[in-house]
Amino acid sequence: MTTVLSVNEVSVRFGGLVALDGVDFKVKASEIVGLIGPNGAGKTTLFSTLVGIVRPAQGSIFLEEDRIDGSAPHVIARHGMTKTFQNTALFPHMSLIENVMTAAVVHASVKEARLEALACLDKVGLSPFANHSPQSLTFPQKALAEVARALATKPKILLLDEVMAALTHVEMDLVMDSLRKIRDQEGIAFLIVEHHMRAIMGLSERVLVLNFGRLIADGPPDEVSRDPQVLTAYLGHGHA
Amino acid sequence: MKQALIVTVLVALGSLVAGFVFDANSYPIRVLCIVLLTASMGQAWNLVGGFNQISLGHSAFFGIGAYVTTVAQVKFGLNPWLGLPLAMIASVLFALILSVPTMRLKGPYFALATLAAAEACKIAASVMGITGGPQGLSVPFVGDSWAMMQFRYPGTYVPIFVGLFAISSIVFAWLVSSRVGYFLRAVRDNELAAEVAGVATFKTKLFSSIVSAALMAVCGVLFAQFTYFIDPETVFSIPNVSIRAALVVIIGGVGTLVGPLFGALLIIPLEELLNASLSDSVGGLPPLLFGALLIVVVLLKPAGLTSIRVPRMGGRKS
Repeated sequence: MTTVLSVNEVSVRFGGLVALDGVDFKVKASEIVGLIGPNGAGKTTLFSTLVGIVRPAQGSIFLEEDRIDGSAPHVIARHGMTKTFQNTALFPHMSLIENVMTAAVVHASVKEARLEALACLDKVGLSPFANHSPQSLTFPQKALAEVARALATKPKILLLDEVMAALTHVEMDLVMDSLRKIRDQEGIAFLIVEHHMRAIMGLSERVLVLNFGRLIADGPPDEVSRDPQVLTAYLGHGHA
Repeated sequence: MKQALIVTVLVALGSLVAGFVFDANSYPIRVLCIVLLTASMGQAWNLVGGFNQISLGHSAFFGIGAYVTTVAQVKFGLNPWLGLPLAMIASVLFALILSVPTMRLKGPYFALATLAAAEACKIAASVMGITGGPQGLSVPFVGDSWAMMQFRYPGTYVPIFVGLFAISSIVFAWLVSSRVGYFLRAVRDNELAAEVAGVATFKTKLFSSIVSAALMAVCGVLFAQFTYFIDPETVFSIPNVSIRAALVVIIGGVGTLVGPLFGALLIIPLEELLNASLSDSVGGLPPLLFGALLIVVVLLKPAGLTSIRVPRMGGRKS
């Protein structure tokens, strides 16, 4: 399987604070990778760095063959990598379908974009709400709408930042099924930040663990969940 | 959008009819010309201000447009129709130069930077010899001539102002319904999210800015041909050009097709009425009243007059 994302020794500093320290990993096409870590571990910073919002101080990032670190977010999105926002960032004065169309019109005509946007909304079960305002949606629906908008960019890899927060177990299962289906049908890889261990362990084929900006584990979910370094990061020395 | 287009077409046709029916030298026809010019200026401003970039520097594009054609006509004998594209090019070039440092600014920082640029243009025009300095330039009248864009009476200008209004409205309607319209609305709502969704936010803002500058330059050209005299204090005026363009849009409805028209239809006749009745007693009152009107509209109808819905006759059917 081809490698879609290569992150090579990436470091990010905010003044004197080292937010990411030599982070190094790869994601293969169609792979679902979970990214976990305690609060402040650097997960959101890593996502922001991957999509070009934050520039790395060191290291390189490749999307397939193309080096993308230092590129603007819209360039990276057009290359095939985008993210959703933890606190959702839909366009409040545009309907749901217009939100999704905005990403689709980047590569399609307005007419084609409407059809593409409807298809993307359908994939996450939101097509009945196409003409609704984002403000009328529940938080889980907003998170899924962001997934639909991200899908409209035609990504090779999609970074999901806590899209399953606030979901019930039943809703979570539905979303997990949808993501697996999208992966199977379209070959999109996912890198998922999630605090719900049930979602991470149930969905991910591989789990990365960040702590204080450093990658401390990378492996299958059951192996990572027994890793003493991971247990120490989450529970402290006395409990590991 | 369909209703707005119908209103726009009706006003354009009504203006054309009024231009033919009424006395070409009458005061109401002159006011109609100024309404159409102001609505067009508002529409040009709307392309930038309608998408969250409150510009106070649009008088720069207006003034550049007015000066380029007038200088070309007075000093080099160039026909104003040929000067028109030159004016647009000059204005677009200035917009490009201005946009590079200012487009990354937001809110009051952007407003102040654009205001400073317009003031700088006014000072430059006041000290340059070719512009006639603070005394300004008079456009020589050569008699009624479509070829020279000059007419004795305001009524003959009506088709030209209707044309300007139609073009600015078509450009706005086309831009908003095209992919650029989606990008502009996305940038207005959340620039970072738009960027991450693949929208080239800087290019989008730059594009709307140069289209806006080109339209504003055309307004400046027609103003110079209409008044036969320009000076830096008039055509680079922040209150009379930049703020007036913003005012009619904010009162009419920001980011809407008919907002500038509604705003101009209210503000210009009201201003003329107030000036006629109060200029002898309290001359400074009209700007104060418009300031108060702006506050009332922003507080009560932040989406402008276009958001007012007229209740249907007979109420809702059960």
